This record gives sequence, structure tokens and C-alpha cells, in this order.
Amino acid sequence: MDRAEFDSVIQVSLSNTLSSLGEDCLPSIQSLLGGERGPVANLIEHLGDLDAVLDELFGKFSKIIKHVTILQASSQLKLDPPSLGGSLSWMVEELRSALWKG
Amino acid sequence: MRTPNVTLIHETVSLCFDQVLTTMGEITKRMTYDFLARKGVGREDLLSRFEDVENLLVSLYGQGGRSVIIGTLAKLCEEYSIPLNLAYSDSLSNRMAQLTENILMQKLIPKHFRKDVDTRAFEDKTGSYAGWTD
Repeated sequence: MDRAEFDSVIQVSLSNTLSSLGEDCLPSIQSLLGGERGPVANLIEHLGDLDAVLDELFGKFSKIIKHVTILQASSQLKLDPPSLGGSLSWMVEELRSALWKG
Repeated sequence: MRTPNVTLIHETVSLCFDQVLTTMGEITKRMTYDFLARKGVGREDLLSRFEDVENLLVSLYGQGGRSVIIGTLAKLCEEYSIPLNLAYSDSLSNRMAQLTENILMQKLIPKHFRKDVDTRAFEDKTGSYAGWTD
């Protein structure tokens, strides 16, 4: 699996998780991340910002949203999930390194 | 009266729900259980009243409350090694119904139960504590 395929799995997991919270959730976050440049399509390029946005918007619930994303991605990649923490970008990196190690 | 498999699913859903609440802290967890109990939903009713639980959590926490339900579903799928695929259903409670039906039909066993059985078997056989337990 190459980097683009991996990113696409994370992107789909993120989109699915955010969409399942409510139909406006994903487009709102995409707009927020894009600012004046308009909605961002690729969430993976903004993982660091997304971490902060989720924490700000959902408070204590943001951790659950991040965990669901990682659990979905792990299942898709057929990998054991990494230890579930509070940083989405960190967990994605853990998953990436587990995939490359495997 | 529930069959052992059904009981196991109920226990697993309760376990997953508890794990999700734990990530939000002890006070939030206690308050959520108290709130659900005041509304007539006990810990053993979580699966059978899943839709009510979703509505109650949304009424208590707003849209964020739905993430607890999604988290519970995701943990359940992780326990049974099945895909979450929320898009397969029009609502979270329907997805839960599909998943539980699937689990019962395929006679799937959750990871935590398999680990318990392995641990007991190891300890019965060797007469010593399994190193992977606390």
C-alpha cells in the first residue's frame, strides 16, 4: 500500500465519522479549516489543525470522535489499532508506522 | 430470560459504552449513568433501549452525545472484529440492530471474552496466574 492509499483510508474514515455526527458537521469543519480560501477537500493535510478544531468544537467528545476514526481506519487497513490517545495526528502516525513495519 | 449469546452481546455493549464514557472522565461517566437511570434506563438495558439512549444523550449533551453512541458501536465492532460501516444504515440504532443480528447469526465471540477464557484455561492448566493479567 502506498502513501496515497493510506491517506485515502484515513480521509474516508474521518469523513464517515464526522458525517455520522450530523449532516452539517463535515462541511462546517471543512469550511472552518479552509478559512477564506474556501472549504478544504483533503483533511489529511490539516490533521494538526483538525486536532485543535475537534477539541475546540466537541470538548470531551473529541477524543471519542478521534478514536472512532482510528478504529474504522484500523479495521479497513486490517491492523490492530494503536493505543488510543488524545491526538489524532499522533495516532495516524502510529498507524502509518505499524503498516510500514508490517 | 436471555440465551448465553444474547447475554454476552448485552454485556459487551455495556462494556463498550462504559469504555467510551471512561474516556470523558469519571464525573461525566457517573453523571451520564445517573441521568440514564433517572430516565428509567439501567445499565443492563443499553442494548434493548439503544434508540432511547441515543435520544437521551443528545438531549443531555447536544450533538456531541451522538459521538458516545458512535463510539460504542465502533468499540463493539472492534470487539467482534467486524466493520463499522455506518453508511449501511439510516440510523445508529438500526445499525446496532443489524450488527447484533449479524453477531448472533455468525455466532461471533468478543475479544474480551476470548481473552477471559484463554486466561482461565491457562491458569487451570498451569496452576499459576497468567502473566498478561493484572
